[in-house]
Amino acid sequence: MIEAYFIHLLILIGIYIILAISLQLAMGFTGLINLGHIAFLGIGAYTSALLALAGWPFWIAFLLAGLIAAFFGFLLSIPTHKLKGDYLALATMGFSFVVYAILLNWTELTRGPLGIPGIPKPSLLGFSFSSNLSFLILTAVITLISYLIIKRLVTSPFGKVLESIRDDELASKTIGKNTFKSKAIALVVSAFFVGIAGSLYAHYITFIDPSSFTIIQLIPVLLIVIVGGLASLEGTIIATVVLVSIPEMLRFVGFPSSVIGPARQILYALILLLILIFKPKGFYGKVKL
Amino acid sequence: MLQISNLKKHFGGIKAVNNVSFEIQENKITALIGPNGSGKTTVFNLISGILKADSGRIIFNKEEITNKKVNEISNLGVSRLFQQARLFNNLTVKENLLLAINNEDTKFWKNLINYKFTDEDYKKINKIAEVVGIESFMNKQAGDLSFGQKRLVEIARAIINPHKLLILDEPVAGVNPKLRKEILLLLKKLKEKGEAILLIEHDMNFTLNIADNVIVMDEGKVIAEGNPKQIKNNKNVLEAYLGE
Repeated sequence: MIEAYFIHLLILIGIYIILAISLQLAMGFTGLINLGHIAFLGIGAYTSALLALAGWPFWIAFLLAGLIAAFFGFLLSIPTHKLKGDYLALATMGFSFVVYAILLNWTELTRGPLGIPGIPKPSLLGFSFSSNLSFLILTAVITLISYLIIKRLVTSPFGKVLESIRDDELASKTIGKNTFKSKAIALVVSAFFVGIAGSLYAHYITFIDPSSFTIIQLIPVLLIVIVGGLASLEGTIIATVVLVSIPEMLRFVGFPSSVIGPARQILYALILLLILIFKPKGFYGKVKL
Repeated sequence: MLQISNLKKHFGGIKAVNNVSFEIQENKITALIGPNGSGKTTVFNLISGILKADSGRIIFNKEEITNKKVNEISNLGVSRLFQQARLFNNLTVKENLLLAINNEDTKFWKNLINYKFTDEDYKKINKIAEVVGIESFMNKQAGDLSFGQKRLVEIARAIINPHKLLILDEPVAGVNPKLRKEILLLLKKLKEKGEAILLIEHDMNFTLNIADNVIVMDEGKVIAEGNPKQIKNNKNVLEAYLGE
């Protein structure tokens, strides 16, 4: 029983890690405060769920979830490329509302608020990941690959170009960098990984509805990025493990589930406040907020 | 190598740059001087593409660069130093300089597969760091440097950025006399190597010491042009700029 619970928790942590490190790529490294991040999770989840239910093999649905989210990342990068800071945050937040509204109202495709039930568990080459332990292994492998690719990117000279855009975009252009292209790549790669995280989420929970992809769901991810520290992947991973686990401990202290929901939000708000006052760079961050 | 003709830029009712024409030659240091608000930095912003001109043309190396993008103009060979500090504060001095070497670092797949700076790249930046005198703090974060140190790193970065023309907005403002002298020698050395330099500077001693040609602006117009001696004795200049 307790073992099953830990496996569940670890799967959630894996999905959250992909969500957080991909946001870190856009926000911590490139300086793009992207509040539309959660919309890519929805796009990935719906893409993968609908394709799988239409009979497509899991791995194709999974990859297309990433690619279609990446395509929307590219679309988002076009109108927002001249926006910075608060304005970019507002525009991308608008994007997340638009995607939410579409998921809710395009009922022929998404069944709207009824959601999509019965999403099949993934299977690869005849092996079905129907047990939670096997799903955990799949999640762990995908999380590890995502981490290695993003790590490689941010430690390469290209990563420094992204950081130069975060620190001073005009100066970056002045030394000849096509910052529009680099920012678009950052958003596309970031969206790709959120998209595949969405696919994992859909096939794990086996039910999705639009309410899982609202800006409220992004707040824990933002919190993870800020607590871990901007531009620190390792900090982000530690912060994910801690922040996803802490509210779960409330369960063991004996709080009823009706209290855990609000208590989690209070706890997150409190942590955010304390971090901003006492450790504005986060625990492992090098970059000032 | 740089020809500016009939350049105009208005901000609302203010004619910041009003029909400005001048030319810059290779192997020469040209100084752009004039009182505050006379339009010097606006001219720089027009040359480097940060602002779009209302009318007029800017020709660089026989190619029209009027209203091209900032990165395109930089890649054609115009390297710009800003008046205010514009370093990448969360990166080290070394990383700041490496970014300026070339644009291989913007190629996504090449970087994802395997791209590293070469020994030659490191040699190049170390050489210039030594010339500018910043080699002792190459591994420091740029944001932690003092004002004067930042200035030197920015000058180094502008020099490393591949170019044929350097445009420097007040390179020695707020820099101590000893460093000032070093920067003066450095710019003269670059000129001997065949570079063209255009600079804005308020320090008349520095300017008249270094410039081969001086262009004086006032209220958006060029009011005088000539060698330092001619400028020193020009009545209009004395009135507008030196207040005599």
